[in-house]
Amino acid sequence: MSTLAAAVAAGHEGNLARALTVLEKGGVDAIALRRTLLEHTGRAMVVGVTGPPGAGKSSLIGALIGALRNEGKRVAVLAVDPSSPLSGGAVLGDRTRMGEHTLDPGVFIRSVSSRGQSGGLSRAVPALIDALDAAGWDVVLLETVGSGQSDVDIAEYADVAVLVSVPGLGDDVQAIKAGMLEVADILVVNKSDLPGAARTARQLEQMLSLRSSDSVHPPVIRTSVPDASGIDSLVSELGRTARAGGRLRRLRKEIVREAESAFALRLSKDLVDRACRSVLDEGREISVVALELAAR
Amino acid sequence: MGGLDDADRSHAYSECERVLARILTKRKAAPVDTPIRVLITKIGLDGHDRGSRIIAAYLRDAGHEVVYTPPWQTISGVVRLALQEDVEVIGVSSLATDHLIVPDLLRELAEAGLDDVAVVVGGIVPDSEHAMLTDAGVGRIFGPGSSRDEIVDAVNQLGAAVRDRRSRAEVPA
Repeated sequence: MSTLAAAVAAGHEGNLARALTVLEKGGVDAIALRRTLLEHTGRAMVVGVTGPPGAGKSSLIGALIGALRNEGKRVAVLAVDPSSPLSGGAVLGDRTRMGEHTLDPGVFIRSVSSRGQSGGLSRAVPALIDALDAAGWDVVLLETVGSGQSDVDIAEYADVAVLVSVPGLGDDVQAIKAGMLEVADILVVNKSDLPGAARTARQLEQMLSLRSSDSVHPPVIRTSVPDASGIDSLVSELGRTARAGGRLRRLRKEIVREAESAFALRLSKDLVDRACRSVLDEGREISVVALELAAR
Repeated sequence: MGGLDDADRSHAYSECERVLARILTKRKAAPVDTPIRVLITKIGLDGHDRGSRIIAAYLRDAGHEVVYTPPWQTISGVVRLALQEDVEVIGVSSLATDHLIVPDLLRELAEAGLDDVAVVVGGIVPDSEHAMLTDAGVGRIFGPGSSRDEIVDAVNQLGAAVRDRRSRAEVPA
C-alpha cells in the first residue's frame, strides 16, 4: 500500500481516486495507507459547507471553486450525499451543480455516500481529507448531507465552517435556536436575489448581537450564485476566519467518534434484549440500564 | 421503583426498540463489502433523462452508489468523472442515436488508463448496431422492456468482475 500512498503524494489523480476508495472501504489496507498519508498532511485548508437541503450548498461550492481558482488555488471537493437506510445504496448528484469545473485540471471532485452514518458526513471523511491534503490540494471543500441544525461535527472537521441559510425558511425564532448556528464560523444567506433575503440576514445579525460580548461574532454574508454576488467576500472571509491546528482537531474528533461507536457495537442483541426485559418486567430506569451496558 | 402502567410500559418499550434499532443499523452499516460504484450518464445532445433517473433509482435500491449526471455530458467529461469517482461501471442512456459515440467514449477511457471499467448502454439501439457496440467493448445493451432484475444482475456481475481484476493490481495504471 505504501506504493499507492507515494503515488498519491506525487499527485497522480487516478491513484488518489483509488486511494479514496480504499480508505472508504476501511480495514487493514486503509489503516496502512492512512498511516503513510498522514506523514504528508497539514497543508490544506478545509472548508465545511452545511445547511438544509435545497439551500444551494452545491451551487455555492460551484461558485467558490471558480473564485478560488481565480486566486490560483487548486481545489478539491468532497460532496457527501445520504445513503439509503433501506438498501445502503445512494444517488450522488451534488457534482451536477459543479459541472463547469469537470475538465479543470486544478479541480478534483469526489462524491461520497454517508454509508449509514448520521451527522451529515461519512465515517471515512477524516481519512478522505487526509488523502486530498497529502495529494497537495490547497483547499478541500467539504459539503455535508442536507442538514445543518444539529449536525455540528463539521465544525470540528473543518478549519472554517460555513452555514448556508436561505430566505423564507422560518421566522426569527429559528435564528435563536441552539446548534449549528452557534458553532458556524461564517453565516451565509444564499439565494439573496430572492425576496426576504435582507430580513433573513437581519434576523441572523440580531441573533448575533444578543451573544455575550466576549464570544466570537461570525460574519453574515449574502450570496447569490446566478448574480455572482457575495462570492468574493465569502472567499476572503474564508481565508481570514480559518482556524489553525486542523489536523489535530480532526484526529481528536475522529477518535472520540470511533470510541463512541465502538461502545455501541460491542452490545449483542441478547444483551439488549435482556436490558429491554429488565425495563419492561422489572420497571428499571432506561438510563441506568443503558449505562450498565456501556460500562461492561 | 413502583409498578409501570400501560402507557409507561409502551413508552419504555418503544425507547428500547429505538436504541436496539440504532445499534443493529450500525452493525449492518459496518461494511462487509462496499457498494459497487456506478456512473449513470448521457452523452450527446439528447436531453430525455427519465430513463437514466429510473435506472439510478433501481441501482440505489439494489444497494449501489450511483453517481448521477444530467444529460449533455461530453466524452472527455465522462472520462474525468469516471477517473475521479473511481467507478466500476458506467451506464450510458441513449434514446436518440447517442450510442453511436459510445465507441469514442470507450477509446478515450482506454487512453486514460480506464479500460477496466465496464460500460453498458441502455435505451434505443437498433439491432443492426449491437455488434458495433459489443465489438467496441460494451458489456451489455439493454433495450426497451428490460427488467429491473436483468439490469441489476448485470451490473452486479460486471461490477464484481471489475473489482476482482482491480484487487489484483495494487496500484492502478
